[in-house]
Amino acid sequence: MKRDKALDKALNNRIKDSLSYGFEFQMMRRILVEAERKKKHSFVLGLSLISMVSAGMIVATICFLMYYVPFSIHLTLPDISISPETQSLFILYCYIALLVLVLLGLDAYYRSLRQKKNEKES
Amino acid sequence: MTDEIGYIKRILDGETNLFSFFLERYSRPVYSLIIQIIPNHEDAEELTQDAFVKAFRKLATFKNDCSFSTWLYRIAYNTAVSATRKRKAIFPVLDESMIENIPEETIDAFFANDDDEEMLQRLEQAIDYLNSEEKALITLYYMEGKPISDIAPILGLTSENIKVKLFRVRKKLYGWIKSKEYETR
Repeated sequence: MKRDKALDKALNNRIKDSLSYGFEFQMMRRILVEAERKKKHSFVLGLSLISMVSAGMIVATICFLMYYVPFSIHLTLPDISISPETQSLFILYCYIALLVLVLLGLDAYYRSLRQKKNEKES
Repeated sequence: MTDEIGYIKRILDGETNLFSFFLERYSRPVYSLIIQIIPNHEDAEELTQDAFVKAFRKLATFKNDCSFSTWLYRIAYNTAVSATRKRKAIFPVLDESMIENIPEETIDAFFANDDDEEMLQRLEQAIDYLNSEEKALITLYYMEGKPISDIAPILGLTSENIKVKLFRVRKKLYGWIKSKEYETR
């Protein structure tokens, strides 16, 4: 098959304008927005999938415990009674639990601060 | 081609900025293809953008059964064709028997000459009468210099069909130009 010169020239002549200045830059911006959207979409999809699977597992576990295992919540959990002798010990446990919660909270807070700082720097 | 596959893998792994490599390499040829089908600069540029966004969205579905350029051209062609469906085109009727009787040598000699400015202008107008598929076909073959084996998957045709269509398009263009010459006399 011949490469007709006239056709090649006529086709080239039909292109009066070329792509506008900054086309690639504009295009890259659109692509980055699209990438962000894609990322969010996959995150939401992953999250809903995990939630659904977790809910399913919880339901399955409950069903299993209710119908297949001779299990009674009254038998398993002991009654909690705080006597004057154990009160000081109970307060100590509460204090430790609170301390752990506060420390975990602080850890999460400083981690997010550090992450934000790293993102800004990069 | 191997460097393109490497780039695709890296883009899919999150290095989105590398997509600029494909933009630099293919934005002009993709635009050239679309502008032949949609002869309006603004529309063609927007459709070029749409084609690239579609390519980026579907990048994970790209398989190595063809080159990236073939895959991208197919997306660009389909995008342009979808846009033309909204417009109603009128194609002039050409006598089929007349087309069949034109000797191949006459057409070869006619298209080999690229010095006649008047003829080139008529040819430019005659290209407008072609349908989207035919416009894409001659753009890819004559302008982009793509081999028939690469054009076939872009247009969803066999290589044999492409050859037949190329012959017919040349005859059609010749017929239209000649009939215009008679009209103006």
